[in-house]
Amino acid sequence: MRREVQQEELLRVPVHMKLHYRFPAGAHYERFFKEMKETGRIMGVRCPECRRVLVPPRPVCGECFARTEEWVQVGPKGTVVAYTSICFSFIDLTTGKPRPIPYGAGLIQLDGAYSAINHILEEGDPGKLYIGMRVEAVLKEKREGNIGDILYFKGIEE
Amino acid sequence: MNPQVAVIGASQTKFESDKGYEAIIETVFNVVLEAMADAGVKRDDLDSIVTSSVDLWDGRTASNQMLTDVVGAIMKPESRVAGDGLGAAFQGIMTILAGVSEITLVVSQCRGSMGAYYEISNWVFDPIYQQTLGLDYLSAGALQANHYMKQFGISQKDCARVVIKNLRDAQNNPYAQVAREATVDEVMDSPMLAYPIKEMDVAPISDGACAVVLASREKAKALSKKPIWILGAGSCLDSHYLGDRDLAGGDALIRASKKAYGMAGISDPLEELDVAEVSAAFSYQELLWTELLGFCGRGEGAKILQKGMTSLGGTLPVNPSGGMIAGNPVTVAGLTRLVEAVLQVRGEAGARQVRGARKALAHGTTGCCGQGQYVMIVGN
Repeated sequence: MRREVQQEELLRVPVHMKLHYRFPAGAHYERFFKEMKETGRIMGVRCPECRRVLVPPRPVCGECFARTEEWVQVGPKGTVVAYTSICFSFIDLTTGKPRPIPYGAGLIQLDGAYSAINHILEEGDPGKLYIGMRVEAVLKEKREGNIGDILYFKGIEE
Repeated sequence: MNPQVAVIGASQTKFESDKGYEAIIETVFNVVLEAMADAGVKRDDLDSIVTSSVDLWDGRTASNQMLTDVVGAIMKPESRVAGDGLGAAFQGIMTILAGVSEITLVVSQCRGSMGAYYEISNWVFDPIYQQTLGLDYLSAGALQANHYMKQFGISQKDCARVVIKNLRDAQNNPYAQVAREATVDEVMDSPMLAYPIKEMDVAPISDGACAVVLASREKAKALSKKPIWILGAGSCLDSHYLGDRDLAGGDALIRASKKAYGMAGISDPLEELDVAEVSAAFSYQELLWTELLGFCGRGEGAKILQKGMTSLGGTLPVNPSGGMIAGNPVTVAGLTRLVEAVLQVRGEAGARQVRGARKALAHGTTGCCGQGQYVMIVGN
């Protein structure tokens, strides 16, 4: 039988889990971030079977179940395939502070790539964003070898 | 072919924003006892148990271990699906088809109120690349919504009408968390969370649990006066990376439903099904899923809803329970859909009963933007 909600609060025990992990990035992410840091190039891998270029690079093309080994440069220009404007606040893992809202986020298909990548869009107004919009990656001056090396994607005229 | 597995017992809790008045194990014990009583089975009759829960929601490692006592699993085989409850029902069916079990208890539980939705759904994503960009289920859902809506000319008001239908119909569902009359303006005026998704377009987060007793053909016939047969089942997984998928394409759901329809001998789901319960965590997803399930053509989900075809009394009522918009016990959602489908074909769905329902569809998803898809057809 279901019981009615009791008026008195039962004991609740607050738990704050602080878990530490060290994720091995693997050779593909290692090279992806190293190239970005040292040369500013965005790299993908080509599947030997379907010939499509996967970004972010990964060791296996899931569709073909085949190992990827051939590296190719993609972008830095690309096309927005999906977008949103985020209006809820959350703690930014990279800074530990709330990220200012609203901001644009999207899936960007880099020129030369088959798969699209998630990233931040400079434009945060959904009225000015559109699917098919041409954008270009804006990189940090002092790059650190992580995805934050791409600051955001900005709209471009072509 | 004669169906080999039946649902002989089903139970669900009321879905609530906060079940702080009782411990998880009490909630689960109650729902398990109800399902076993419904099936007319005792603990000794259970050959195996399949549970569904997710460690991060429970705040524990291997969190199914805390359920051992209350699901009657001591000295019995138990396995856990770390995902949607309908996936656990699939595993349960397999224990019977494999011949290792004649009666299997399937249990799913989640306490949405305990943890932080943003963090837990952010942790779904690749920690090296995607997590730091702030991706979570809501922002990813917004990308899918926009992609789908732009491709097929679906408006925000079309999505608002899903909310209105579900909140209205939920008034007939005593297990619903949210149920009321609402207006398009009210949905449109609710705060924008991630364009084009507004607060009222999003399912609430709930606490709750479900339990289902499955039985082999022989056991079901011997024990149950009203076995509900699993006529068809299909499941399919898409790529994990959002950028690898066609977000509006939904090939995984098309394949999962075709498999289930094939087994159940269904060629025209709109005409042959009597009711469908789908797992849509956002209003746009109900439109998208109904299209991919083949209830209408691509881009016509909003049209059949506006014509009333998916309302109670329509050609194929979708979510007469109110669906996830009326209560969203996160990973329990898919098993809730199965319980609702079973109640419908038994004729025991109370005020939300679809008259004369004989075949019902239950749909579940797991992962982001419907990466994993489950479809089950049940009938009497």
